[in-house]
Amino acid sequence: MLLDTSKFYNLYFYNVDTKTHSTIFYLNANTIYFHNNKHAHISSIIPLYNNKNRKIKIISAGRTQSNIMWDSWRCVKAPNDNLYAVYMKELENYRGELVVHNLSKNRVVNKVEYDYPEYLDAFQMRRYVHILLNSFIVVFKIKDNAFNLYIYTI
Amino acid sequence: MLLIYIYTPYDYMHGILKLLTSKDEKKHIRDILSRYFAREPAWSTSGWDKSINCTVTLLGGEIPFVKYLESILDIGFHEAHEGIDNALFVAFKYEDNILEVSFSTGQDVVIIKNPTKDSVLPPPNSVLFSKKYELDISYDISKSYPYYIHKVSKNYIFGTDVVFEKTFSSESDYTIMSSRSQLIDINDITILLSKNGIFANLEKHDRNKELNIELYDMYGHYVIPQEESIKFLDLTKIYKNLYNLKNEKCYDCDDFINASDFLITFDIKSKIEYILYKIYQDNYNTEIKIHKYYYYLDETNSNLYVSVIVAKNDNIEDNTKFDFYVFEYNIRKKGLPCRIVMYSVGYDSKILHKKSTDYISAMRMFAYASGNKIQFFEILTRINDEDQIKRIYIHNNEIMLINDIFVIKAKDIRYNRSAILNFGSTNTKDIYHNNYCQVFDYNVVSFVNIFTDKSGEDKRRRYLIILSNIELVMSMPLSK
Repeated sequence: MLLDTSKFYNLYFYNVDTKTHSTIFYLNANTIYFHNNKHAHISSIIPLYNNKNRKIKIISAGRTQSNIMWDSWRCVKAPNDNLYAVYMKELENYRGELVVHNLSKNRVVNKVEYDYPEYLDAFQMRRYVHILLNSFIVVFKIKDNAFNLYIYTI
Repeated sequence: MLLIYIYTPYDYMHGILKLLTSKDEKKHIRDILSRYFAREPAWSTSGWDKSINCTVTLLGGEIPFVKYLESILDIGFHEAHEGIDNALFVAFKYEDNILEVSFSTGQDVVIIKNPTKDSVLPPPNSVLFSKKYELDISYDISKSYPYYIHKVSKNYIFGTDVVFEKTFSSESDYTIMSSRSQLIDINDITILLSKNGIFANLEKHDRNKELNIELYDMYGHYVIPQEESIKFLDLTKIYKNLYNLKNEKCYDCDDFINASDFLITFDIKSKIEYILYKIYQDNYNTEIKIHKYYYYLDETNSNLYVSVIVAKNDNIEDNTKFDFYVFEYNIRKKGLPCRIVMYSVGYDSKILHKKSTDYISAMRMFAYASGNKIQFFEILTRINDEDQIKRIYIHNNEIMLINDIFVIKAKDIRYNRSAILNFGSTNTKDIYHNNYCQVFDYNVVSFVNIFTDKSGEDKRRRYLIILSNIELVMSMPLSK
């Protein structure tokens, strides 16, 4: 049995994996909530916390979008009613890929590749990704002498 | 729609050139630009706190959104000039349905030319490039919702890793107060630990009501060796304060109050030194030294237990002797003397890690005298080995869990009974290396065992125990 723990906001998420089964669970208000999925893994889920009703909804980013860096995601419901997530995916050789994902339509809107290990840190990454007016995703990328600024309308 | 801007230090210097009026300064920038042809310098940023400014506002008092964002960039060292701090401000501003993107000079920018060290002072906050976008009706923020904002209170907005504080200038604007802050829920109190201070809030929704924690140990829930000073939050006082404010109706549940006054810093080393001075003040010929000490805080009644091993050298025999003490001190009752709950003699430096008969006898006496404090007895029997201590977790002064080799011992402190759970390897050829436990959220204890199996492969096993009060909702008779 393997156990991963990851903290999100003020909650711990627990991912328990055996050879045949896996589950993700968390405790809130003295209740245990399970997210059961045969393929559930902490690196492919995106938790959404609704501060109005204090409920957490776990969304799977899909099988192809695994290796998502824990806590790197930011989610927003855009004015067009679609739910978007922007997160960092870990690639081989210490590279990362920033993904803008329309979760409602399960469609990757765009990707920006980063080839410096410093980007593979969820907290550092927050310097480079911002959501403006709940309608634009702003991405900075500095590579050598070029400052690249991407603005996605969502 | 995707907009892309690419901006280089070469573009920046060209922009500066247009802003300058002094002929000398223009010449310096032209000199720098001419040397950029071989190689341009790189952009860089400082840490999060220094490089990002952000304003979040509330639409209709409810929906938070970022209306202002500013990123600050530096330019690295180049053979043509020194490094340039705060060189470029990239800003996004939303006002009257218009989003403006602007690149401008920072404040107090100094460009020092190499090798002459001539300096150029670009005008501060001068726009190098700007573009405005009028937003149409499809950008209706009232239909949006940011899931990266976790909590909105009267004075603060909590985002992932970032706390925004209400500004003085606007009723609905919040600016970054602190990054890398931490929120902890204990009973029904939420504690915000940030580098700007400690804040507390009484949640509307209760949690972990069965826990009876008076003090929160800032260093964790374990027995901790050799800290010179230790810090605790007085949760009882915080709760009373918040409860009174709530009853006086001058406090809204969602507000956070400054809780820094309820932080207790206890200088444990000075306290031990003082007690030992009082004990040994008449022993003129004996050299006294603190060999080791450990502490354990009973968070439910604020009693701090300190176990101290004292090395004594009387300069007569070439053999250091050790005395063993346990002190009890109530953290919240300042001014009361420390109580010695146990004293033993008989440690020998040559067999330090073996308990002498006197020691065991003393321990037994202590266990007998301290009634149901079996948890403390268990800790004391293990203090010679710091790794052993990492195996113990005491929940709410009721349940004690010990991760022994492939066995979990559960002790019911209240009723003085225990049970053993065999969970690990039954293979006698497995070689045990290490075991410890981790505690999450007071309720979840993860036991970790590291061992080498018979094939020579290193393995790590984890076992979970979730502590929870079980309430019988409905009783059902069993059918035969």
